[in-house]
Amino acid sequence: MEVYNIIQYLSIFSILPPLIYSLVLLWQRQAGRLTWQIFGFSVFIAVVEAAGWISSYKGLNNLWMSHVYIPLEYAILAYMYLCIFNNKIIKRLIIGSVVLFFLFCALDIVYLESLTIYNSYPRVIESVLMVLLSLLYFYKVFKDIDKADLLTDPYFLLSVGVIVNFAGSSVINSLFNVMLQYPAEIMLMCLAVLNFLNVLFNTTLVLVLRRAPRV
Amino acid sequence: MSPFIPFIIATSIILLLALGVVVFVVMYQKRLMKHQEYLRQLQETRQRQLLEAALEAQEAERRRVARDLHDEVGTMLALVKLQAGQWSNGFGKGEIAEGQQPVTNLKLKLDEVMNSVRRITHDLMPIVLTKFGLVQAIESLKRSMPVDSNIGIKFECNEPDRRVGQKLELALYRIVQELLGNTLKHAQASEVYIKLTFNTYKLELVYTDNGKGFSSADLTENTTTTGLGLTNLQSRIALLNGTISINSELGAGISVVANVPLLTEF
Repeated sequence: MEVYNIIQYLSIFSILPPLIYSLVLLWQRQAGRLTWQIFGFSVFIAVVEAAGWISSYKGLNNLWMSHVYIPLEYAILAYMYLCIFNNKIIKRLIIGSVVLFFLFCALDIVYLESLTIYNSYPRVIESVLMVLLSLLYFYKVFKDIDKADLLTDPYFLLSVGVIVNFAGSSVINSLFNVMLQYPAEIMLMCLAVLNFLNVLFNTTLVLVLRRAPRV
Repeated sequence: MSPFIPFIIATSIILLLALGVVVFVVMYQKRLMKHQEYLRQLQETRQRQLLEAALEAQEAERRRVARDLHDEVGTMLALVKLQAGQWSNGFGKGEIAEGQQPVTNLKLKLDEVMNSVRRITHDLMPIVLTKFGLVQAIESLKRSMPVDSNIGIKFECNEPDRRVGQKLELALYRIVQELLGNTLKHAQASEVYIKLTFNTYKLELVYTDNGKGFSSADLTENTTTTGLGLTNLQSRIALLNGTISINSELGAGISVVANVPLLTEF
């Protein structure tokens, strides 16, 4: 139990390093577009984490937050990718995917999973879309061949973080509601995996900030 | 079996797949970059070889024309001059007044033509360069400037007796020749300063004149004349793995600084 709690706390507070780092860069007036985007994302996640923590402390059902959080998270991440691509068709596809995803999330609340149930379908769809976006970026890398060292490219690091986090969490997210029938320890294990992936993603954000272009 | 295990296995497989994609992207991109760099180098080498071949063909053609001019036209002119002299000596006393003057004029004209042929031959194939080296060849260029051009040329060298590779000497000689030609034709300069400095690892050539100069806009507009000449200089220097900087402003003359490494065997 202790280990699961530690991982959970780590996951909650793992958003602080990218938030603080981006704040420092903003303070030093070195922030480029990507830094601003990560700062916005970190603030959003921090607010969601804080709200989730407070509501769970008070014993309230906070699953409705997840229904709001998922489309917004996708919208922010998709906007980051929107800024990378120059191709107008791809840009339109990304915008279209955000609109359709919002619609799907609304339909999920009304017809599939109510606000009090874990939103596994939107999460899976989000994972698929995010993996597709990162693969699209890898394709762009192949096509352009303009980067000598990929490990110094912030968008590549971001895509690595995205593909690992969203691909890794897709299975558990898709079967989350089914797994509720099993003993609580199994759920905790699954949550630990999700939290661990979340910590990895937030750590990647710090690396992205390190490589992000300065002004 | 715990129901957690299939989830973990599925997640691990997907994670491994994701990591596999990342590793593949990194490795393949590195390979692509390497291949692209190889292609770029190959193209650069090919361009270099083509340029080298073109310049060598140009020099070979110059040598051939110079040899023909010297051996055939020069010899024939000398013979004609000799015959004219014999003709002039064959006149009787009474005929002198009538026939001597045109023959003397002919001999003078022949002398002029022979001098021109000699100068052209020398420009095409600088014998001084191959025999005595770059410093003496530049001195010779300096002396061969027309007197009526009213250009004072000052030439300095820190090691006048030093010889370097034949290709390097020829390239630098052609550069000085081109620059002097430009000054003579376009610059309306009164002073030219040439400085050749041999260092341990490099050779520096500085060329300045106090002519009317040119703006960068002139260069782009007249690419067929002056611009092309300067491009030739840049190509020659690039072939020697050197660097060249050409600075000029309207009314401020021109300043050319070329640096060529001496370590490479040319």
